[in-house]
Amino acid sequence: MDEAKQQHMGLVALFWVLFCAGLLVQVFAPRLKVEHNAFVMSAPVAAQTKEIHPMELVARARRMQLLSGLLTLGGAVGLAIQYREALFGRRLG
Amino acid sequence: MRGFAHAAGLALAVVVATLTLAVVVHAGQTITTPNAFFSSYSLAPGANSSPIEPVTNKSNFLMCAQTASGFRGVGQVALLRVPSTLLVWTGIESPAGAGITSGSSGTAGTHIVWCDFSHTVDIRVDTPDKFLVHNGNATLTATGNVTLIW
Repeated sequence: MDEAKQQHMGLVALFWVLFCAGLLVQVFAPRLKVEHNAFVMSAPVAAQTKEIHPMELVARARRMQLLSGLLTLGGAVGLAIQYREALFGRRLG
Repeated sequence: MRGFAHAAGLALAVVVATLTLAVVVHAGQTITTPNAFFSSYSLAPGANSSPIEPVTNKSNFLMCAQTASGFRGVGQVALLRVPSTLLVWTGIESPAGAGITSGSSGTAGTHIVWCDFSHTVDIRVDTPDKFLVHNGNATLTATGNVTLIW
């Protein structure tokens, strides 16, 4: 395998890892619903929670969503660039 | 075979694009939502909700609404949490007979604001750093919600 091909495969693997990491962060992010411009905690969840810290919950959800969005978008854009010829043909290559 | 691989590649690209769009839209919604927290409660007679911790050294706007038929009501207070010391508040009690409520306390059980029409469900001090919803009704389950804006 030549060096360029190796580099290409390395970048593809990196972008897949970034993309999957973004999805994983999304899965493990706090499950706070947003309704009517407010973060919502349902009665059963609130009842099971020993203490409710809204500011910490919201800040954590925002941090994780930002991280998830950046990783997923970064990974997807990177993959699109790496596979640009296959996806868009040689015009953009 | 080459055509099949191309189609599979395009299908994978569509899946990646769809997942990316879903994640980015959800992230954007979470990041741009204002600092408002809405929590529902359903409390048996005499029960307390989980304690809720307001933001420190900043004005919190706290609203509560009792939604059970026959006892509906709504109350509101502006609230300050002085960490490890006390809660300070001023606002308006729920009807019937709505009046001003104001005070400062770190003592558990101190009344802050009524949430229902019959003045049996209230928000009260839990600790110097937290408040909770208490159902003081002897027979009825209290259902409603609390909204905190900071």
